[in-house]
Amino acid sequence: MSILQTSNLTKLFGNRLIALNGVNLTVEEGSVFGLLGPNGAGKTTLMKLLLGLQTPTAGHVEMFGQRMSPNAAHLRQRIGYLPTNPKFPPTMTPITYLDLVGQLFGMSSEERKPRLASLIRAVDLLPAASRPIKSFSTGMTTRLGIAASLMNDPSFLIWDEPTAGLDPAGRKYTLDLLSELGKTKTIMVSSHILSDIDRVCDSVGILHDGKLIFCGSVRTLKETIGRNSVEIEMDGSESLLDAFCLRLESLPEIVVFERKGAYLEVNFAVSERIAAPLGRLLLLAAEMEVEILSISSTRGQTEDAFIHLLEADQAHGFSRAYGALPPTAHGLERPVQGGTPHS
Amino acid sequence: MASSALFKAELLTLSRSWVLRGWLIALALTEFFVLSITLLQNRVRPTPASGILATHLNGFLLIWSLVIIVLGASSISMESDVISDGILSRACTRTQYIAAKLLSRAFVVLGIYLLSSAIASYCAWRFAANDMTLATVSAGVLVVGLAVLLMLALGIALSVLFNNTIFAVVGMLLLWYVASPIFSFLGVDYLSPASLTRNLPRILKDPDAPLFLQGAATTTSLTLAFSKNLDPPTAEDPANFLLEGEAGVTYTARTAVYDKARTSVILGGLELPPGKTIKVTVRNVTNAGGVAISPAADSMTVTVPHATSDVAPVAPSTGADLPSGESLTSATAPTSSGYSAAPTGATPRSVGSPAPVSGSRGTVGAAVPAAGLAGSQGSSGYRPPSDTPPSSAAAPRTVSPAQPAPDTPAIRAVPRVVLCIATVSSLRVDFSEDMDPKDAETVENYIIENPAGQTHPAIAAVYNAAARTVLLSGLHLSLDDPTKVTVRNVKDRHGNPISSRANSAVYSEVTVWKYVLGFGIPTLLVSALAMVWFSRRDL
Repeated sequence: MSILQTSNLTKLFGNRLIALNGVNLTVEEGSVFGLLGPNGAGKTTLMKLLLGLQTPTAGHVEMFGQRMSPNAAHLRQRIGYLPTNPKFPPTMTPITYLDLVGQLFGMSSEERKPRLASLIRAVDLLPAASRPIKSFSTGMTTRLGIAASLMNDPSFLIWDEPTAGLDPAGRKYTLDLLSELGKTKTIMVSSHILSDIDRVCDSVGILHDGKLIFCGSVRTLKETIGRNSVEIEMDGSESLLDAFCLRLESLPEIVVFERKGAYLEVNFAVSERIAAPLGRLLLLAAEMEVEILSISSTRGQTEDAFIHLLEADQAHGFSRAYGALPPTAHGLERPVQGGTPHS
Repeated sequence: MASSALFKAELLTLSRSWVLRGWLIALALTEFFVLSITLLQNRVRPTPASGILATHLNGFLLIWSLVIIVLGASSISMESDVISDGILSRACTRTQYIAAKLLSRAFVVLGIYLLSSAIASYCAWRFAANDMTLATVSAGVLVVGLAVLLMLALGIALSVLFNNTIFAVVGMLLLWYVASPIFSFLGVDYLSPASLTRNLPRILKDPDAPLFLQGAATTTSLTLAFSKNLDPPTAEDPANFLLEGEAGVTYTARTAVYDKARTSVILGGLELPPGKTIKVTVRNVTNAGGVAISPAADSMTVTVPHATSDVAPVAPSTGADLPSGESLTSATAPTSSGYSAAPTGATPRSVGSPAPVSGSRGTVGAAVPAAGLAGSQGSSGYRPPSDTPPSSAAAPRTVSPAQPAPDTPAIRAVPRVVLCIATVSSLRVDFSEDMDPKDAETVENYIIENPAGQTHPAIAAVYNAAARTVLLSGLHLSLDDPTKVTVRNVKDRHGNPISSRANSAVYSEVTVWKYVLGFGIPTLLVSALAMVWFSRRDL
């Protein structure tokens, strides 16, 4: 069952800017949907349209099976929204603001007081609970935004770049929280940090210049790049590493590799299982006494796919007017356009 | 619940606003100084309570409108990001949000306004001669309150339209202060703040407050005419009539007799010097309801004639159907602002000045328009339409120091109609020049019509040379509609025909309900418009 469905969603700001162009998107209940896109791709505009904060120029948004509009408070009742770099009433404190949010959601005093207390504690704002919001850092405001989005215990969370402005610890906690919340709620999270999406999302949409150029599972996204690659960090002398690379050419499963200093990126010919060729590679390293410091199997894969899709969209030129995408570099299946995230 | 939460949150935000805090401090200080000065001035030169309150309300409307405009115009535009991220992304509608904005600001501004008005009303009632009633005060406060609300609603509407607060504030200032000439041009003067400011004293003034209309003297008596019936005990106390001659000489009447039929008081037992002027001041005289005589018209100067008779003749003051100001020969009267007492024999108001009569309440007393009063300085007082024009000997000897100078050949200005004032049965036309009485008293020379083109013939026309006015009587007018009078075939004393471009005037009675609707309906419309705009606005 879909929680969110957009149909031909288009947004033009006056005659100045085309922010979104015919976006068809479906988010299934229970999924964690990641919205990817470079800066200015239209992610925030899309999220504001989903919430009824902006009205579409064409098309429409259906949330929980009903049409979203600026006055559809009953639909927002079930949504928790975290804006990117949020701005809250500057003279309010976290307590007064979360209390107001609770009242807007129709929560009784009995409900909202314990709830806001636990949320303030959870996002580590207890020491600043009575300070005016205008004195908060970006990270603190984001954490308050997280608390506000959870105040009504929503069934659908829309978080716009939740890790923006957070320190590494805050970023980790946020991603952990997203993973945890993803077990019970439907989540839509936007980011241009691909590893975040890679870590928490099971489906993904890619926006480019206001157009949804990909919508499907993360696995499908990775498959568009058409390769299984690992990045190996090595330790050893330059001559030893050169010799190791020469020996690698003898391994039949390795189609291409590239060494950049101590890092070696290896692409395997097999598309499904890489354990056997990787084992042989490690045996060779052991035999030549090349120290392996780390092996990363996924790093760069999503990024590559993302960049590949953007470039392919760009290269498709005028024929984009008809919605077709160029074949992928490796001749594999085309990405799903406007489809459901569960392919 | 969302609505009340938003309302409370807005009140909380407003309570922390430095604009509001600064306003409260400035308002308190200003109120204190202005009221103190006004009340001190009142001891030297009495001002009626309506004048004091009108000054206060006008001051609030004109001076503090800037603060109200800033409060309204900054309400949305200053926090559009916060609105989107912090409020409207939650479970509330835009209508609820804008309504909370409007209501919270209206609550605060009107609360401050009502408190300030209550203090000013009390001071005016306590320390000045009261010429107001609870109903007139309520009406005045209501109308100004509605103007304040309109200002606030306009500010919020502009705040919705403009993202930039400065644009919103500048737009609002332009709209508010440029509105008056536009409304005046469109003929809906009562929609403009300037019109309200001008007419506020009349709205506040009790229409039943008696006015001292006319005085006539002999060497042994003084006959004083009033606009309303008086309370006999106060009217028959000679101590309530102060008579001052030249060089500060005072005279005391031995008797005071109240003539209820003529609403006049005859002061007897006097020994007044022939040919001299006497200033008559009436104090502590009330009507039957206890309303004091208006200090705006409580004194005048009369000249004691050389020829004497037992009792000086004076025209009866027949009350409600008097054309406003017609009897007020040289009585001190409301000035252009309508409430401050003009010195006796003040210079007539410039005929070229705008003298709108739209604020008239159409009844004698409170209805007397400024120009009509200050400008009537003739020697012939009011004459009932049925009377024959009085001869100079029969006319009451009310002389003004500022009586128009004798005609001179140099005066050759083209005569024009300055204004007209109507009651249901009569209409007064004011001219800019001294007119030829023969032309001026020919009723066929006047076309009186309503907007539907229906004409109303007058039965009689009486010209008052000193006041340059013609009183047309025997009419049956409906004051619900504007009344237009067009003058033709009339020349001045020098033979100059009336200007073809200024030969007509319109009397449009503005009552409180017109102001209530004039400000109330736009307030509702602008508020609704702001809600619609806000619902369609992208955040």
